[in-house]
Amino acid sequence: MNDLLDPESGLLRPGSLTVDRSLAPDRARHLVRIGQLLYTFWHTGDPDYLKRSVEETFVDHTLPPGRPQGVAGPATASATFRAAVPDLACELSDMLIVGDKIAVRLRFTGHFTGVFDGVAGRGQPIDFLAFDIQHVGAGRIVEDWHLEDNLTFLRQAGVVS
Amino acid sequence: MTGQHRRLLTRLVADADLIDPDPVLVRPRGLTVDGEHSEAAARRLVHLAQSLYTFWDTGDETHLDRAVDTSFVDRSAVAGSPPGPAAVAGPAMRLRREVPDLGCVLEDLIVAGNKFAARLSYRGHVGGRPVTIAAFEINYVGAGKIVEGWRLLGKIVEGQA
Repeated sequence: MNDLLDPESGLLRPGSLTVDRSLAPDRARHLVRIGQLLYTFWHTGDPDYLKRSVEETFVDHTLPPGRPQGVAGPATASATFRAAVPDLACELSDMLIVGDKIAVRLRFTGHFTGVFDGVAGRGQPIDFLAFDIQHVGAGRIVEDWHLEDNLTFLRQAGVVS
Repeated sequence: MTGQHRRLLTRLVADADLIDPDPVLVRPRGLTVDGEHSEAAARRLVHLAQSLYTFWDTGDETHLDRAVDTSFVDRSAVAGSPPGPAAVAGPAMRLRREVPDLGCVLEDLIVAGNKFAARLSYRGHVGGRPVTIAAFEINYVGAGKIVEGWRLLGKIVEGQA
């Protein structure tokens, strides 16, 4: 499936990729690129990648309390998270693309050297899983559903026991 | 908006018609299946997913044994977790202890190649109050049954959507 990957330098590449081959090749490449762009945003924190992958009308169906709806949601979440874990890295471990949907398994790693919820980190290693399902419209992502292993993160950060 | 982009399906059957109509089985609310699969292969994969989540819905291990291979490995489990159906039965039993009337809604099922991604919501009551637990999984199907899986279970949240 590597023929479908976008070769743009700096873009994240999935560890494993399974794509519905009944999709037209141009559409399949487009969906793979959208996935690579979104998770390059999570890997780097660069909002340009977010703009390129998510529509203005984007809706988060699993909005955590306190996070703004729309494209501001992931931007805010990433900034908050990077304030706690400045060396945050996102591994795109697995990506499935079928129809208009992208399902992914992610692994976030880094060190708690910043500040989270008023608590200063002491360099604790961070390593936890997340899953997302993204729905792509004609162009970019229009809606999503996601789940992060927040409890593991909070335990590793020493915020909860 | 799913399906707005034309796919050259190998089969003549729409995604929704691949669901096993057996009333004891959990039905996916959303379903997108790889268009390259033959009808028989697509039905088999959807049926495996329905069987697995019917086990989570009912606690009846007959459904679990039909879906999960004896060689099954849970890649997201802590070290020392047993292989085979017991790797799924253990966590399900622990959750059912906390939520005795546990039910499982298969909110979205995405089948790509020999993998399927599932978005789930477990529902039930704790101390008479309705609760929901979100979960995501990706499972890999071998020659017959599910042989490998990655799973993330969210926390118990009060209320039901």
